[in-house]
Amino acid sequence: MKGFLLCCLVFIHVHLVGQEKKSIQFVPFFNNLPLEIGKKYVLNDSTWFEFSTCRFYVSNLSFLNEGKLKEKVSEFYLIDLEEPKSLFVDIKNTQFDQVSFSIGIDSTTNVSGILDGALDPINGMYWAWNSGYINFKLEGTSSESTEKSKSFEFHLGGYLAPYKTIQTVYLPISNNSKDILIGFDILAFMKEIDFNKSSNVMIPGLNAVQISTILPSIFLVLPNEK
Amino acid sequence: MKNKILFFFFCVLSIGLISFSIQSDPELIEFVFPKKWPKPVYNFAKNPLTEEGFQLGRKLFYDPILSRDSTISCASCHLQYTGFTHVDHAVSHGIEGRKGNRNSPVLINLAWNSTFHWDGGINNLDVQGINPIQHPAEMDNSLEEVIRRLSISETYPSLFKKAFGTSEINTATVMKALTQYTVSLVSSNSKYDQVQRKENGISFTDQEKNGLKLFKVHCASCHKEPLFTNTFFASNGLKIDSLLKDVGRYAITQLPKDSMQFKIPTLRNIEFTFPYMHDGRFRKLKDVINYYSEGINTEDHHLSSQLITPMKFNEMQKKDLLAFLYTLTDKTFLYNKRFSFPK
Repeated sequence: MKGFLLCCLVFIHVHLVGQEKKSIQFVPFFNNLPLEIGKKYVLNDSTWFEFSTCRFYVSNLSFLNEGKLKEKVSEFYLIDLEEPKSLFVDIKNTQFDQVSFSIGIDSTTNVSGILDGALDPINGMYWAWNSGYINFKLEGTSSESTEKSKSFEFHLGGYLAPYKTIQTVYLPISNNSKDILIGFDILAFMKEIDFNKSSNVMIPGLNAVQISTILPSIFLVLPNEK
Repeated sequence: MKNKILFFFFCVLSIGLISFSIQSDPELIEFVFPKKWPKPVYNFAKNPLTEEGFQLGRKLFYDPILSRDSTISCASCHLQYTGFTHVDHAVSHGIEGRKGNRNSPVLINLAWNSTFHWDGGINNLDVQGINPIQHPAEMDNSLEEVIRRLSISETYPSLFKKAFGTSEINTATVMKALTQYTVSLVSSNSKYDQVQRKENGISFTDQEKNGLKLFKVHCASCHKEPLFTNTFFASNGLKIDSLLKDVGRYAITQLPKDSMQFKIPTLRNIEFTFPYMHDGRFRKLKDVINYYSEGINTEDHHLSSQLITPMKFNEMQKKDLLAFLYTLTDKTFLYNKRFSFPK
């Protein structure tokens, strides 16, 4: 963990912001290293991973203090590792001791027709043949894939019962005087995947639901040393 | 004096601004449908119908600019004269002679539907158009490319400005324009409708009356009047095509109960919408009636309960039923110039 913290300090460019403004920064990492698109991560002699896409929706961003809801943001955020700016979310400077948010898009929004901004289907997070948003998209190649090409694709989504995939993350915040760093550990996600069962999930269904339930556990609050 | 001149200029400016704003407001149009029909389910509040929006949607519908190689338009598979389907083609055809898996559906009275496509995979009319644009066996294009082409064209930016108040084209305005056209395709003036409304002393022949009686007993629970569909899904027991392997709605919901279920299509203008069924396997309406009469495998475990008792029509009854189905033809719809290729 110490190694990782050091990496945080070295690699992460924390935005210097004034006293008025605060932000949440999403920090992707893999095996205690910052996660970068197109970089090969070797775990041991036979195990490696490389990522080409990592994108997901954050919605229902809420701030709680002593169990009471202080603020709920109606915005939808598309976090995209290829768009570094998207990792920063501006927030209000309020007192809170817990942050919660959903990974994905709620059912009502999924049936609301054509939407723009982060929800524009042009962003590649929308199924045209089975209307609905892809909540979480992770693509790349790995020694673990059972495909000939060694590729893997996880497009997790689906809003219809019994295969709803939206997940909620709750994180305690011990110090909200600084920007909040929320890490997400893609190795923790990958460790839970049974590649013999599926190297590709691209439709809503039981598989997508089971894999989506991994998601809340990969998010954690990182200490902000700045 | 100076004040007077200033006041005069102020007046001129105000009148100018007012008239400018009047000119630039798109003209709202009313969605008209027969009094006794149910209320449409399409949410017009999110996409108010305007003349400019409708005309833009119509132009897009007929424009091959949407397909990757600019060879096909929406109208290639949805021809007005045949109820906006691809007559004589079992399955839809895309660019470069590519073939789809399903019979292109009619575009009739879409405002009363909340799901689209044979498997109901589309949950809102406003997002329907994305699928044929992107589908490799249809237009095989991308939304980025469509928006790029429209944005640099000579005509489209000003048409979008007139319809939506901005010449900046995005997915939402393209889709909303297309919907304004497709949602307006209302067919409600067939002989059947005229008889219902007791218009101009028009009445059914005895044969048509007999056909209607049979229809009400055997068909109307799924093909419910006045839309001639209840808009739900059912399995009519058709054997799965060994090549297409189409399991219908199951592909969308992953629920075993939905296996082999397909959307119940409207029967309006059925005379001209051949071939029939989700894969276009029946070329003649006669074949469809024969299938329902004596062709259904009643042992099929997917079969909808309404079809378990064979209908067993005699030859006379089949002719009666056919005669009634022909009364659903609406030539004022099929030849309505407002829906045709924009000149």
